[in-house]
Amino acid sequence: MTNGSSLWPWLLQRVSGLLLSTGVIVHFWTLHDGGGPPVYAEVAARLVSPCWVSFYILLLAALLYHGLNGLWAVFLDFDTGHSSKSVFKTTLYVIGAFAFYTGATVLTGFSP
Amino acid sequence: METIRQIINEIKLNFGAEVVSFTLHRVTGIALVCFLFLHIWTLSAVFQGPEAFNTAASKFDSPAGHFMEYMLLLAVIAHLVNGVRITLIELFDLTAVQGRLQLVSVGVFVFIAGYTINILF
Repeated sequence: MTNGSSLWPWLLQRVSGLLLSTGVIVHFWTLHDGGGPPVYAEVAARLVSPCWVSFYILLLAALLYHGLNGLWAVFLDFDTGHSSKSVFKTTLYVIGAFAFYTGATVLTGFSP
Repeated sequence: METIRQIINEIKLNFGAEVVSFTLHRVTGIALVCFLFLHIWTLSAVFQGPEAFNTAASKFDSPAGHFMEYMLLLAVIAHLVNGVRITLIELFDLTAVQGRLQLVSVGVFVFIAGYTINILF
């Protein structure tokens, strides 16, 4: 562990990882079954279902947290200076917020 | 650059199953984050109607597309299986049996890779 306050990121990384393990398998199994991309009708059916939309918003949040926190962990291994640490951290927060906003807009803004 | 050289050097010095899975976990992890953004962007074609979406999707319904999809699945499974292994070791203090756990995770990976190979065709 890098410092005394990294217990929560460590635990959340595990929790989001386990959530993603089940979520990604469900996603792959039901939407990419047999390989190849799904057709419009399949995707449209998901985007009008509140259950699926909620599932994907949760999956998106878990993915962004897990992925960006993972990048942060890789970055910490490079042992850079204090200022580049805060620049990188801010960049990750901005990317995360933007990607969540874009993803959530795509997920909730669909009307057939 | 110096740090990267140092990391590669450390990988060489400690070469073994643990370092391989550690490196693979990081490489697949970074690749999957990059892929997520591509995936959101592709999906946004759904706003342009059925034809635009099906045209965008059909680009991936080719031998190269299926190959990429299979590689993506392998990256996901490798990252997932290794992540579960790490979590199990940490939560249940399984360092003593980690060699066997590694074999099990490689077994699970090979099984899923074989089970889903029809994606390629």
